[in-house]
Amino acid sequence: MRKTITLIAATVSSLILAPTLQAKPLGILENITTNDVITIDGIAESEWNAAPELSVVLDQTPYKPNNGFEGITKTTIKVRSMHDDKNVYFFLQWDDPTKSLNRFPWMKQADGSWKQLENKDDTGHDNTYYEDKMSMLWNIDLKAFDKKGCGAVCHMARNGKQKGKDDKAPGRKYTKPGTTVDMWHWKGVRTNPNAQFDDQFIDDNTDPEKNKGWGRHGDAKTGGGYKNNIADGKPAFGQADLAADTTVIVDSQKIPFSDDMDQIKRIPGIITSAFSGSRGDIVAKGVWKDGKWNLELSRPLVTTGEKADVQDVQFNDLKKTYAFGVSVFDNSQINHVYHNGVLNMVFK
Amino acid sequence: MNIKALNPAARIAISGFCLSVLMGLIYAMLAIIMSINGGETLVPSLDKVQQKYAGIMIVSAMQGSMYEHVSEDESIEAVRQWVEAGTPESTYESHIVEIMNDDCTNCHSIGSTMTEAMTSIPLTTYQEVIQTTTKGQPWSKIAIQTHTHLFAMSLLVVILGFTLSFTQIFSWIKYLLISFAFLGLWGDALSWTLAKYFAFVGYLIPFTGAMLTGAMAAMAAIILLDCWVKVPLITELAGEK
Repeated sequence: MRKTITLIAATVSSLILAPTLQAKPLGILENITTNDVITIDGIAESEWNAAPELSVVLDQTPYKPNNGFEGITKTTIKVRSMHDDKNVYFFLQWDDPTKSLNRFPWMKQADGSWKQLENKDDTGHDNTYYEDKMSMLWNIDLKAFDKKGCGAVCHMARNGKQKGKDDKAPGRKYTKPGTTVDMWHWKGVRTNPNAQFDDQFIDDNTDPEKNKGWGRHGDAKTGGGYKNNIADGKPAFGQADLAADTTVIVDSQKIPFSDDMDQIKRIPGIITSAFSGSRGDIVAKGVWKDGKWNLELSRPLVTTGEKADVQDVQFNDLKKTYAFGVSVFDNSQINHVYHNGVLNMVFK
Repeated sequence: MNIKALNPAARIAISGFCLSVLMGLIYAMLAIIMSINGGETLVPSLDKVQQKYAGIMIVSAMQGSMYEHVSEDESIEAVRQWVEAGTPESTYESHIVEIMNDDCTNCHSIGSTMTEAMTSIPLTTYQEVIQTTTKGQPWSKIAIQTHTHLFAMSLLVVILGFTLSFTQIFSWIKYLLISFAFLGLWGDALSWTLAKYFAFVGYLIPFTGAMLTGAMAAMAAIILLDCWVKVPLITELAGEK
């Protein structure tokens, strides 16, 4: 009797109702062809009006810093994309009421000494003296990413342990063995002055002895980069034209710090220069205006640098669907607002 | 007495009630569908509904409301087989713990501070996971859901049935709709419990639910129309019994 009812019910089910056990992307970005010259300056030229806009609500955060978090916990990011025969272009815009570029600055104290400002939480990360950032992850060959998006590489620690190892960080990024995910990381202080993203990737490494960032790595580079501006507990370098709102020391313009820099009250905590090599594949410019970041970027459809096949997503088949995810960091070292699920990009 | 004999204010009040019931039914269906489909508004398959009420709790969740977080469908099948094999701890250590870590424990752990943290249902140890391997919905949920469903819906059905009795439609339709509504209500409530023990009962739930909501919607619509116009086709002619 039970079998009969079950059989009848199952038959009715298969005839009337379609099975729904399938992964659906959160949104689809249509990338259109352009024949115009796109200037990467963070200002949308009229050509962008033709590109369909994908709007994504970012309302998830991975952890709650124990010393408070004043950054945004919800925003909407609008993404548009185009391509020509050489490059892929993106224009992103998201709401962020504060322009935050005050990353670990050195401040001259009343007694003449210098102090580098920081306010780290119990995981060792700062959400006060930091910078605005943005990240895009692109799947290369991690199966779970096609369904879960960024969640496929995010592994939160439990009871101070990650993979059985003591770890203060709230979470780590790594992939399944033998797979990689491309990570494009725009940093308002460290890479924006050089008109670049920091082109990174995530692999399967879970050994902090091999890489302290676990699965997260920078792409191969031949030069350039950023480093902390510190030597012997003081700023290592200043710059001739430092102003009150200077956020970074440009490597090519740096001058040695000296105690007689009396007129300067604030010195940036970071020195930067443009990446060369694969790590500098992505040209970008972010402009903050009226409570919004406007970020424009381009990257070759196909990259050719060292290990490009495992470190970079290759847009070499314009009939393929490309899985990606986006997140925004509001003046935060690692806390970010993100979306569940995956986004897809298709070329039109 | 019939509804049309009431003053306009009373008929407006009854109409407002009927419209509210109809709207409420639509949103109730939406809520049920989304709870089964993991937030999606597609019509769920009969199998999915059956799994929600009669299936292994953790498997039902992985197929339903948590599906977007599950990396691979093979993981759901692996967990199902593990539960059906008696939840051996050795298999948990060799296979299941990795699935939990990949797809569940970011949120399902006592210390999680993620936006959607589910600290009340941790899945970080063998003992915690096997708590979610029973069939059907947990008794704590069934007890609350069943009694509130019976109390609330029976009240609505009585009000609708009582009001329907004063409409001018054929009496046999009144008897049928009122009976269907109560049968559907009882069938729904009993099925939630019975599905824990007889899996096939899970397949009946969409039909008992449809019986209840269909009868309620029909009653509300008929009353609403009868307040203001003659309901076509099913209204008794004057003098007809």
